[in-house]
Amino acid sequence: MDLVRSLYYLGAFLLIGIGFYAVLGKKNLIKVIMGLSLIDNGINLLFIAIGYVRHHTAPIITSQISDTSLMVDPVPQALVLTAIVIELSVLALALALAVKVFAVHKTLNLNKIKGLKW
Amino acid sequence: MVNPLYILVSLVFFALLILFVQRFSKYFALLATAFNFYLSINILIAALKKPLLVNLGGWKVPFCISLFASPLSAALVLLVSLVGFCAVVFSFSYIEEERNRYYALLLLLLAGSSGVVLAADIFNMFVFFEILCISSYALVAYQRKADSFEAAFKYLVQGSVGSSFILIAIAIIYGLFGTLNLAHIARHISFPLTFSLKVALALLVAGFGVEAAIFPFNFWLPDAHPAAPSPVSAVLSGLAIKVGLYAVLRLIFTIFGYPGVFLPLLFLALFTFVVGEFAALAQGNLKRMLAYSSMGQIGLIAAVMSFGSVYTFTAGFLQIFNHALAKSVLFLASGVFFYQGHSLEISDLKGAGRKNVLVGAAFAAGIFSLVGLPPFLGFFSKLAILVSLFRTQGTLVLAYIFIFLIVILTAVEAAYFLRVLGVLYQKPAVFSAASGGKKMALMQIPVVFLGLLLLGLGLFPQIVQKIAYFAASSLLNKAAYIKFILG
Repeated sequence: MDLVRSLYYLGAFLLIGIGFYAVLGKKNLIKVIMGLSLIDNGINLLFIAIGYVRHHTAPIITSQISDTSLMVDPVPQALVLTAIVIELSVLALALALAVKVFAVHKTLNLNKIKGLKW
Repeated sequence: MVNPLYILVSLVFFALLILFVQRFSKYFALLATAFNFYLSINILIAALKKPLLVNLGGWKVPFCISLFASPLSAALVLLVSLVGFCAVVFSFSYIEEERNRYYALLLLLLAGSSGVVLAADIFNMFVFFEILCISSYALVAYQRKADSFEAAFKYLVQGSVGSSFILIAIAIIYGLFGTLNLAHIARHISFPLTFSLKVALALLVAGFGVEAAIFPFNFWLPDAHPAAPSPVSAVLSGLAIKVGLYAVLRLIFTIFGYPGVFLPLLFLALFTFVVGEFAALAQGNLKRMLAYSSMGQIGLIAAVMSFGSVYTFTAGFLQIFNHALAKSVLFLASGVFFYQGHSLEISDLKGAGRKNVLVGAAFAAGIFSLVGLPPFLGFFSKLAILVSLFRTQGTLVLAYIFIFLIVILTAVEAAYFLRVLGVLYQKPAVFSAASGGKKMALMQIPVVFLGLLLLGLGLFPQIVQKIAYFAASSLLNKAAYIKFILG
């Protein structure tokens, strides 16, 4: 395993870890949602790192480049695109719910909202 | 008409149609679920003879997206369409605001559930799972009250943490094997499992376990299920947690085929069972009590299935059918009571069963079936569970402890359910029902139908037993699964 790739893995798991910390430890609804977003970004980085091959190009066949053996794995990139769309809708729904919760309680502090303690 | 793809296509098509055409949404939803029911019966009949495999886009396995309808998947798809159909009929007069969004989300929820059980590759399983989860988050918040927003937010955070567990596991598995097809993954897995595979399996079980409400991932359930409108509670309690459980079982037993999870899974499931049943005993709100009872039941089902023999699986599937139908009856009936009396506190329901003779009778049928009294379906599933546990080999001590727990907790279950039933028929009545007329009649139809179905299947259990047996064998046969999909 080369250094660049392990750096990517390290970065990905660091992002995921920070995200989990925010989701579990933070008391502000918006920070919790940011934590979810960080977890998702870390996972996306992890996928891309898995498909990465050093010195290879983007998996796009053009008139100049048609040798697929010099390209990185395209499957994780397709998965990440799908995952991003899913994350977008989850985060949008989460923010919409946070707006509604704020409208009811006039606070975003988890400790002050009885139904949200976990 | 025996292509599993049509199920997903028709549900998503009607969901989009409802969003774009402003009128007739409930009739479109009715049409979609009725068509879905017809398709899933055909698919089950075909799958019992020979499993169905559909490869999309003209690519070859394992490079394509495949849908696989084993007897297990087909049986669950039938269950989804049956409960979905009843929920839509019930919603006809129960849901009066923003019908378009409601029915579109409900159809997407059904499409997601069918997709998870039909998908033959792990990433599409994840995508359908997300469709199921996101539409259920939105449906939990549908009633636009403070507690439903809070419950939905809680459910969303815990659900999406679970989904990210699944994605990490998919990344690990793809990094190891370079494939996403479930059968192809299963072929690559060899024993003893490497550390990273164990981590991946643990993440998958935890991720799908959030939706399956297995302890310690189930804190959202007692808030989310009661906060949703009653037909949605019926779908969430009857179907959504079963779909999560299906994913857990399919991955553990068919794909990984790993017996090492027996003890952890049994322990977690038993804990879920005990906590759920005792928490249900302490509830004063009917829907909250039903939600905790669902938690207990899913623990019972998961614990039985963790023993991993074909008998325990058959018994577990019988209980899945029983619980899906019975809990739908109970949630829909509680919807009727709420519609009339605007309260679900058990103390406000005195005499509600007298006011609604038919719904009260169906409610009683659901309770008797869940507790396990003859002549309802639940009697046969509880009997099958006990018989299958006596038949287990090697782990007799655990089986006997489990049987002891089942007996005790069935008594607990009987205590809280019969208390509610007593209140429903209590004199003098506190419950005041405004006469609903035609609307009430429409709501009673699915409730009574499901209640009669529980009775009918209890009188003639052979057909469900046969389906459950086929489903159990198809879950356990890893070699046949790989061979059928990869050829």
